[in-house]
Amino acid sequence: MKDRKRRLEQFPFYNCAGIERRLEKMAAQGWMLDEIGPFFWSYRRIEPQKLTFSVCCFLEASEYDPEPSEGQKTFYDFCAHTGWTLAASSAQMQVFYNEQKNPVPIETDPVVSVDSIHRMAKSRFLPYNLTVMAVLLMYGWLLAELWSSDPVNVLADGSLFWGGIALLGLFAVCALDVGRYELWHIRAKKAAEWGELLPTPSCARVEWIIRLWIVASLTASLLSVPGLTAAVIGVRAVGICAIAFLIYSGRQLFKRRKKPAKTSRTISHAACFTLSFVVMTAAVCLEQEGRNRNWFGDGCGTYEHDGQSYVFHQDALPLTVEDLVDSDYGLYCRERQEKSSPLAVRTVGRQGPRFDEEDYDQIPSLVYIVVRPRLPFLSGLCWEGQYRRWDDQRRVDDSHRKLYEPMDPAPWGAEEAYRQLYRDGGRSNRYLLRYEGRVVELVFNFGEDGPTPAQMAVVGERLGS
Amino acid sequence: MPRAKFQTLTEQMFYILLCLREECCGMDILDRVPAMTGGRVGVGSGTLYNLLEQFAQAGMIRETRVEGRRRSYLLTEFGRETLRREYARICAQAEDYRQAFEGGK
Repeated sequence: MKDRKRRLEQFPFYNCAGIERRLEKMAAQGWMLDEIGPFFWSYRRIEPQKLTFSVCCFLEASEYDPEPSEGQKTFYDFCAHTGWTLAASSAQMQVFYNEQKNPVPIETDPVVSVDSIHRMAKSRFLPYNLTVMAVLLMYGWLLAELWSSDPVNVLADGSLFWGGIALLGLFAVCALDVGRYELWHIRAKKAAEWGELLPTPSCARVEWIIRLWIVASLTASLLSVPGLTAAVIGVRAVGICAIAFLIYSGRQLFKRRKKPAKTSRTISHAACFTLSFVVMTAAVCLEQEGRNRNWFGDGCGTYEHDGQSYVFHQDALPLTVEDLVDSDYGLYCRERQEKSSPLAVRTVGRQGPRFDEEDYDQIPSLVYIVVRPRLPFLSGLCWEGQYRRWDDQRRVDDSHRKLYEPMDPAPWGAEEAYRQLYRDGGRSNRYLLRYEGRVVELVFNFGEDGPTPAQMAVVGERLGS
Repeated sequence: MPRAKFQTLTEQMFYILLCLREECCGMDILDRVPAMTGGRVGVGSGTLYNLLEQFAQAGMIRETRVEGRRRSYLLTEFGRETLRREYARICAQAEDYRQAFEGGK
């Protein structure tokens, strides 16, 4: 029979009543709280008994203290005098139990109790949650910037879509926590004036639903990125977990060796900063190296040019240079990239010579982007987004925006067709085509007068349906 | 409207200060308050610890002796004045009650 067990316990710090109920239930089942870890709480087996638990905070305590301070010991003495025994503590949170029937509670004055909970909130809970919310808002702002310059790219990016949903969930958890705490604090302060200690609220079910939402979205986000990117994200995640574990273990070691709190805190913070930097740098190097060496079979080989390594692709493309012109060049790189989210799919096809070819610019090449919105109401947005993409990315002002001239869509088999103009009025070989349910952007480097009707028909047939 | 700190005293605050009219330590207070009130009022250990700190910070009590972790305190003149003001407030309330129910006879 096991004498110890661990449980994943997730309580907001101020939900003292919820924690007390859980611990009383565990004691009745024969389990006594032994240690409070960052995620898991350890229990040891005891005789099942009815105990009263009390959770309170000791503001001067910190997770770096090698042992309780004199003040903390005095507090423990007071508690012992009224029958309260310390079960476990974690930084400021102190958990006591009492074997007496109807013991005098540790906190008997609601005004003092609410005040000490609020002081603890101000020292940790609120700064932590508000910082996370500020970082998430900053991320949201970056996403909005990205959206304003290339909405289609954002719309079709599964990792951004699912990652955004996960971060929205995280924001919701923080906002819910802070909002619920503030609401409780306002009401608890009023109730305390009347001598009542307002019970702390619990939304455990809602929180678990949001947590599941976050985990599911993060998994979907990870699954929607290519192998190399997923591996890099995985390395970062494992690295962050390893750092957290190392910092926690180091702190425990310092405590066992009775190192002063200041030393332990300084070393922990320095180690956290340094190791984070190392992990992030390692992930970037790994990504670069993986790309250069084609670790995840992204292409079918690599080649060197000007000291850089390039991946050589031989993907199947729906439209090739050979479909449009005669070309005897035999070393084409054919690359197909696809991004998809529940909102849109964006496919990029690229066919061109290797960069180490001498007459690189003279060899016919082709690039196209096909955007397929998955929801009908997004068609207009995808068209507009693709139309304005180049200008928006270059921050062009409105007076210079009309860079596409309309052309006859019939030869393309399209609903609308535009050709891009250079600033001096010359015509570029970039086209924007609108088909039913898709937008196609196409760039050739051959045929200065533009494609022939026969070539347009091939494009319409291969990319338009 | 929230009241200013220590402008009025809660029952716990009142009895802790009352105990400290003569020098005593925290554990004495834990025993004396229930004895003084016939068990009607009990002071929690956490509440007592916090209040002793806050009273000391506010200058209502002062530390008189330290024997190991056993610290003794005594009411200051300011603390005595606060207690007197609270007593007057309670008396005024009692008088108002008396006026309302007995004065109207």
